[in-house]
Amino acid sequence: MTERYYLDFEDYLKSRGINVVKSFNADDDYIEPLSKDMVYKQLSTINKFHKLTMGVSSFNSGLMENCTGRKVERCKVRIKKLKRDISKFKENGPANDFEKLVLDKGPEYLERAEKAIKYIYDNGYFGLIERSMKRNEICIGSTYIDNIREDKEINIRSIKKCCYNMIECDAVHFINKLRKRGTNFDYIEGIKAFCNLEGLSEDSQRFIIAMVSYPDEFMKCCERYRYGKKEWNDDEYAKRLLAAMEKDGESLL
Amino acid sequence: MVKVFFSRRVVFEINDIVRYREKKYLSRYDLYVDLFKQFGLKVTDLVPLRNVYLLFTDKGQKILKKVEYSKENLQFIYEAVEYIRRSFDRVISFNKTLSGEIYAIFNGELYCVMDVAQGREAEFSNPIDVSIAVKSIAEMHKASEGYRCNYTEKCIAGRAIDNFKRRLEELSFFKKLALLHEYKSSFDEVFLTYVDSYIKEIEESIKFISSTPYLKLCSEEDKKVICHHDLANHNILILDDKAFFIDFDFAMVDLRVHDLCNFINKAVKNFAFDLDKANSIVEQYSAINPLDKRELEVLKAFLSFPEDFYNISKDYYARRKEWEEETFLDRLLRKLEYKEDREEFLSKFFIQW
Repeated sequence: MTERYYLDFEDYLKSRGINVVKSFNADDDYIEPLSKDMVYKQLSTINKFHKLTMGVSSFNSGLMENCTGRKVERCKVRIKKLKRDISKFKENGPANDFEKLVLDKGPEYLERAEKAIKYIYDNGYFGLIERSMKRNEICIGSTYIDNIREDKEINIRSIKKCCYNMIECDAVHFINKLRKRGTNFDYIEGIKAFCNLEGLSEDSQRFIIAMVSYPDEFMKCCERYRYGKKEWNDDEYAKRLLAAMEKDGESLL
Repeated sequence: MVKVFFSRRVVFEINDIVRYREKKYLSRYDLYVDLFKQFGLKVTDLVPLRNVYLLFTDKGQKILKKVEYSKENLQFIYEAVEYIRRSFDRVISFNKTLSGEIYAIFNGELYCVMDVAQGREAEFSNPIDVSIAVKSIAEMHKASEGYRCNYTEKCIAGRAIDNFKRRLEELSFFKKLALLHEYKSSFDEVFLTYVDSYIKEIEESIKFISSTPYLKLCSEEDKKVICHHDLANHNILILDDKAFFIDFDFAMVDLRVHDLCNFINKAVKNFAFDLDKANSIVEQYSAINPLDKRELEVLKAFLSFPEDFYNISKDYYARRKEWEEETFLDRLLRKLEYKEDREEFLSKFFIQW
């Protein structure tokens, strides 16, 4: 095993041909929604970042967060909390339109969320984590074109969300961004292409499909209501929940 | 594979931004060449790391720790880890001074130096890390069986009932204190809203543990081990499918289910008290170190004690921590956020086991 010294993560990225930049060239601006070619180019950039960065076992300095398993755990917690909310709303009767909407649509979204998590556990989740740990995979965290782009070299604006994690999570983040923006794209085909580029197994494909099928926006909105995280009134929460359902789209499972 | 070390600059940045809470503590260290000389070390550089310093020396990287407890306590820790090391070597290793001591006294303060442990901090959201950690805990416990503790205050087996009672009195005292405050802080207000339900919980815990064969178990040598007692993720380092344990400051001799309770609480509390995770911890531990029915009963009684609420209340009212008011409140609210999850978890766990 060889040992090399770097000033910091940015220095390490530089040594791998990845530049941390303050902004991108204005000429490189993109048009939303992204074209199919742009989506594929971005998937390829994400793949290159992974290939160039994986394999670093950093010194025990808390240099970079280890986010392995966090996303799935957060999804499970949100399922549990929503179940309890629904029981409470049922027991006490809905207090407003938001609660009425949750009572009406919640069970359906809960079922979709549970199905996604079960699918992940039934399809080699632990094996994927083990692979990721062995290879010391590093995720970009913020994968959209406004943060990372490739010209002759890969340029990235913020490395704040870079962390140790399964590289599948970057695909989940990117596909979710596309879905939220209503990009017209064959997502299954995109996921397969990503896994081919990365040399990942069918379990990885299943993981990504399941994670992007999890109704993240619906769950997030319910969480915001539960803890009063936003200064919205009940009507605003109801509106936001409807918008969240729209963003979550159809399940890919 | 290339193993990468990052330089001190990064560690400084991290400590400046993230670890600000330890600044006050770190500033109390006396970092003199004469101190390092006592350990026979030539230090070329040093950087803060949590509440210790990482030293770059002529004998490799070392950890310098300012000891905040007695020499006797440190001696106990040394003897305990050395006992464990006979058959389990993934524990901290002390460096002796030139005069053969495990500590040096400098300006009236106690310092010790340890080897640097390799590995990354365990992440409890990662089921593989949890699995590696629990298996290693079981192995470490096995390695510590038969240890004869000569430090009475460190052998707490048999004292849990009294301990629960003392804590109940303390919580009732904190309640009186909060009620006395003419101008109540936000912490006081929230604390007073919930304290009665937790007092009741502790009363139930006392009844529960008294109904178990706890005292009988404490008289059986093979049930007692050296407990780490602070199995937080940052005290467990993972390297190649194995866990390494650091920071034995709170170590003591007690029933092995004491540590198991400590680990379960820490591993599940941030995940809405995930029952499956707790079940898997008990199963994996038992596969290496089988637990009998009586131990499981005691484990349940230990788990029923509202450790988190008691601790944050004591931190606040006994001024155990030098935190800002809002930090105390934030932590209290976070603990209360999972109150329902914990109750649901306990009721299911009790039926399951």
